[in-house]
Amino acid sequence: MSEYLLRLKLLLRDKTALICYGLAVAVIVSVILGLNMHSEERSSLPIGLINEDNSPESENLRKEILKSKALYVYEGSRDYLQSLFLDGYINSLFIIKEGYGDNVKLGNTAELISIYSAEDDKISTVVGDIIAGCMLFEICIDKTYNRYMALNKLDGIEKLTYSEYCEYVEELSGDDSFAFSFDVSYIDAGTGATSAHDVTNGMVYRQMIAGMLAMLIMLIAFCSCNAIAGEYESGVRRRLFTIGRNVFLAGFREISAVATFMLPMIILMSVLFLKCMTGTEVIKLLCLNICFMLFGTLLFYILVRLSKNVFMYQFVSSFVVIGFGILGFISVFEGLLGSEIFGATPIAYYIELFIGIGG
Amino acid sequence: MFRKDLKLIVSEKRFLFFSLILLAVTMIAVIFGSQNRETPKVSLGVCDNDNSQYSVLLVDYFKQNEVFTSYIEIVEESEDELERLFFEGKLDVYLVIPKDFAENLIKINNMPMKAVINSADPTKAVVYKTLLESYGQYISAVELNCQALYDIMDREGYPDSLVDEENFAVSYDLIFTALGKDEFYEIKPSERIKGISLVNYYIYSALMFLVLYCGTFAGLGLLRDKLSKVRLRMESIGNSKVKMTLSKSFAYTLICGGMVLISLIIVNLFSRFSFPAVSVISILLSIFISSLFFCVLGNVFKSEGGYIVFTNMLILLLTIVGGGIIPVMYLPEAIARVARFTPNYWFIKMLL
Repeated sequence: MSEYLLRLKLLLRDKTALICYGLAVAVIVSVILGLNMHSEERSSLPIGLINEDNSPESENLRKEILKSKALYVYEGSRDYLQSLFLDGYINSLFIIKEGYGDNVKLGNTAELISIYSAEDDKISTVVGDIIAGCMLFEICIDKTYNRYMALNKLDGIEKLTYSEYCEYVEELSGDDSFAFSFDVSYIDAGTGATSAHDVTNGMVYRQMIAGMLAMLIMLIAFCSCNAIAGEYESGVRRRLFTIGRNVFLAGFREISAVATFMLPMIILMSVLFLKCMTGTEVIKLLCLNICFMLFGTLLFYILVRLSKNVFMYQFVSSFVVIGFGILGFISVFEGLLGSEIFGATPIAYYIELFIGIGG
Repeated sequence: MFRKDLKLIVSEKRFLFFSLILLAVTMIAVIFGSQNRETPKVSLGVCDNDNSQYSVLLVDYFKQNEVFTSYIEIVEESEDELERLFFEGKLDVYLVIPKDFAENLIKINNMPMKAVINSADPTKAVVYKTLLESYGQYISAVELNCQALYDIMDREGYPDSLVDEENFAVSYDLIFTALGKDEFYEIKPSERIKGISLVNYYIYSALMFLVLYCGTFAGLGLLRDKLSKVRLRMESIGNSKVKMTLSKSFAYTLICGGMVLISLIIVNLFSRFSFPAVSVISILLSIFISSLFFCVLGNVFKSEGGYIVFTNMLILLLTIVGGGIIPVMYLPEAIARVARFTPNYWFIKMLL
């Protein structure tokens, strides 16, 4: 018990561990409260949009594109958007060409929009599919109206004007029976389990938030074990063991002390999710965080014992934290990259369990 | 002094560790690179229970469309077979077109089309969901406008045969307009930037990580000289601080940069990743600037522990803010604005 209390006291007086702890708490609060709130919009594909046409049709299209949840649209001058594109802030640049409205009215649908994208870019094809959904309503109205106007006029019947025709289509569009949607179900092909949560754009971003939290847990565990490395280097540990200290019992107590030191942050990290998770899910998240914290503490405790000096410990550990972090983040996109080799790393596993809980 | 610095670096333990880590990173890049010859396509299963003229046309169109097949591979099978393939992990998503689907569509009797998405990978599931939503919009637009024309013609008293004939023709026209959506666009690939896959992005990010660590070694070497009073002795024999800092920076650039370049050659030879020749200069220049920066930082610190903790934190922060973990385009706007001021951002931009 005295070893446990001693380690806890030492941790509370360790400037490095405390600074790291304070920074981590600040980052966690901003990550969870700030980034999580904008996860939906920032998971969307960022594109630039310029409307070079002044017709009502192009304005309608612009409004439809801005409404799309799948896209995060930047607007502005051509120079500004081109600089965003070249600087990597947007994936592609869509320009509604001059004459868009007139062409749509005439039923000409070829090359209405210019897409500036990087060479061999596949994402702009997906964005093109999404934007086509916004364009089709207008295109279909004009195509059908042109067909209607081409019909022979019936005696005594006045043909509808374009605005009257559009008014009728608008009226019809209010009918829910025209809103076609797929009957989508999400099933985990590996386990056969049906997903309890709807798949939303924000899930991509939340995986990254989970990765950041896992990295922070590891970072604090790493900083908390720093002082122990100092004890090895200064020879204090050797002296302690010469007076009959049990290696395993001491290790267990020290790991418990480090875990106790980290516990308030772990609780804070879980409780902050009450805004977007149910009580049961938060409890599950707390359990996951505690398990990951124990894993991290154990890992760095082992690294301390192997390194036995501060420099080597910090050098190896920082590579472990950032290395696992990068591999974990790659695992988020692994499915799109066609690989499964990084899913086995600790942070990737944490992300998977986090999403499984309901993150 | 420069030769002495070179000898010192090679004889240090951390140099061995750096070599081992570099070797591990190189091996990961090679293994990963050789596994992924091509960006994987989406495997889409389709079961056409309708088997009508429209549904057959639709499936055939998608199977033959060049743009569509460049990122989606269609497997047409029975529902049971699709389910089996799905649970074997061979399909990412499958659709079941119900019986009389086209007929009901024309009669505006919306029958839901079953879509099953593999949720094991949330990132892919989000992409499929977005695509299905946009395809749903296509169907709604076609359906709505066909019905509008039908209603108006019917109301104005056109003969039933003409209304039906026109309805069939317009349905056909609108469906093919929707399917021919690729024609809506004029694609202008930028000659100034190449498409960067996420793999390459993270490889560049890992490379920047190594560049920053090369710098920390240089700074640590200088700090050790300072703490062990070696620098004081060097100064007493007429070596200036600037000269010593530059010598250290050049020595680390030569050795660490040389090792990084050897790794890049290995990656270039044994994986699909390729680094342009101009990146050699960029990498060496970056290592030199990084070494110089950390050497200056090393001059400020009074203990190794403080220096190591600070530099680790700094590298972590620069990596996160500079888009090393979440690509800049997906960072929150406020952080993305700050990203421009980080070396990570400029390093990746320089390699593109």
